[in-house]
Amino acid sequence: MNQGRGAPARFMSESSVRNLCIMPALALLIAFNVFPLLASLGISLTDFNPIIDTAPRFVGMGNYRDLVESPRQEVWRSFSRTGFLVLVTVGLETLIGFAVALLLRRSFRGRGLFTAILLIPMMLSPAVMGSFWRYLFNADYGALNWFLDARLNWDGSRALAFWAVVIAEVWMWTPFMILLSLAGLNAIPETLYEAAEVDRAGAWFRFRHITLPLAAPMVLLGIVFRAMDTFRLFDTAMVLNGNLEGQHTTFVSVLLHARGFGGSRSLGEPTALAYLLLIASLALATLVLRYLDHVRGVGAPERGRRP
Amino acid sequence: MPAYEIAGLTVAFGNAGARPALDGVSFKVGAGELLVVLGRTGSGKTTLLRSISGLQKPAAGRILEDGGGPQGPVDISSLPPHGRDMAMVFQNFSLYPRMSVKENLAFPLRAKALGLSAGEIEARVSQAAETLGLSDKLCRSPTELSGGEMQRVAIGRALVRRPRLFLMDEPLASLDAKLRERMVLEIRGLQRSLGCGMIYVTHDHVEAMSLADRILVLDRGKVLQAGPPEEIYRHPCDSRVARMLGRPGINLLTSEEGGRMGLPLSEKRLLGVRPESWRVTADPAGPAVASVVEHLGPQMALVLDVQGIVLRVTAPPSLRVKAGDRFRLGVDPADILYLDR
Repeated sequence: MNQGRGAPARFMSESSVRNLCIMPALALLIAFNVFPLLASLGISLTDFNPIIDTAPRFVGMGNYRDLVESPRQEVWRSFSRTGFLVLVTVGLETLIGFAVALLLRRSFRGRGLFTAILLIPMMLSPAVMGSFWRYLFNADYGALNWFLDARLNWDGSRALAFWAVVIAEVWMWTPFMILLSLAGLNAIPETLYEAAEVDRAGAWFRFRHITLPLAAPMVLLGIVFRAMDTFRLFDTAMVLNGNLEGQHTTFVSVLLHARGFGGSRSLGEPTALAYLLLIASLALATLVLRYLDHVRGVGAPERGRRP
Repeated sequence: MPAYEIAGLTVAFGNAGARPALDGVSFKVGAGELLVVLGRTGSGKTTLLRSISGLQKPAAGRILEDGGGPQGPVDISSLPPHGRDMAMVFQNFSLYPRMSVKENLAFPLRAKALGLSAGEIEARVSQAAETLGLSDKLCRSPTELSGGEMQRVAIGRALVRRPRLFLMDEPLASLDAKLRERMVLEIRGLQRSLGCGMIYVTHDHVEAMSLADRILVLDRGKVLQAGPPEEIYRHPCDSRVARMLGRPGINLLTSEEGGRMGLPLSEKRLLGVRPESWRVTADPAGPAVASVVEHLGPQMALVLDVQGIVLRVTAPPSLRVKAGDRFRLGVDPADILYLDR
């Protein structure tokens, strides 16, 4: 008569238990991802306006056409501006980050403390950090102008505003590149340098043929992360300069915010812009993932032997 | 090719009270000699190689190089690694992973100080590749190679340099037995044909015996004994050296045990008898009982129990034997080693 503990399990088959566990996640995904995605696709094809109480009119690809063909080319300019920002910011972060990591790799007194201090900017909230920089950049009473003994105007209508964003971003995210570079550098086996030393390789040779190629996968990973993150940059530009159109800090997300929340126009066009941004992000992410697969395949570490 | 003399080499790590990794190590390497440093893990053998190469700075001691010129031996202990013209093969191969096999081989030749032309480099690399059977692997990446191939690239990288002295740090430790056997022969042949000196570090006594012109036994940072393999095997200076060579290991008996077995004694405290020195004769009334019998192919390894004394003995496979059989044992007095400790 003893049926044991196995009996109740037959109440539900293994696959139905599995399905039951997946269901909530699936429901959430549909409710908060798939539905909004489809709904916004629908909205982007209409002149839907949440404020005026009239039924939205279907306009087909009209919103997209307006965006692409707008006389001031504001959309394309925001895209190229964002691209340039990614190039400059990530480039600087990588160069400075890797250089600092090279210095931090040597052992010296107080290295731990020094590294910790260097990492602080990364821990701050971008909004808070943006506010600080806003005061530093202020044309009339900012600390930066006082230091430089100049009267630089970092206002959004000036090209300098773009560089203000670059400076703030580089300051904030270089520690991230330091961290990843250090991880890459520390993974290089010491015996490779010793072998090179016995082989009479010079310092540049060691750097070029051991340090650089072996740290590269990790640094590339950092570049990829930072590029994707910078591409959707919003907070720093918003805090520094607000969401006005036609400024030197009107990046894609800023433009999207300005169009979506800035006026009483239809929501159709901003939604269409959001869709363009989504497509661009997806394209970028796909490229990046392809590339990471490639790196993983080629850059497999030296087959592990006894250390 | 120069000869080398290492004099009083001492290396200490960490706190002052700790036992130094190397404690006054002195020995010589003749021109074109293959010296094997035999020692267990932690005996200081790798530290010794690193000190000779210049990667490790010794606390005391000198390294002298004697090129046979009129100026006599030169102290090279203060030279950096790249100034010593030695090539080192590391235990973990240390191939440059992003370079092809060819680039790895060419790497040591590209140093500006050598001033070699591209053609010369090419010629040396292809010669080394041919010697080591790597010609068809030149364009591969090191990560695509087998362990044996990687090791041959590492050796090749040392080879192309045509160094004055080869330093080998357990280069075969991570290879399987069959490959190791073949590589030992290859290394021996290469060293002979190049005629340059080599210091080869290992913990494997078979490797040591088959390679060495001379063996240097290192234990806890000190040289126990140095000499030709057969001398180390036949006349070990103490039980530590005796135990390190031979498999199955040597039988060490106290003089009391030796007396019980009726062996000739001396004033020394220990008697050592190699397993193969025993003459084993089947005798139902004999004092020795076989407890374990292993068939090793060319010979049999037996564990015998003689009135509570456990002995390891080898016998020809023609001797039909099973566990529980009884034997009579004999040994030529000349084969007995008398040791102080």
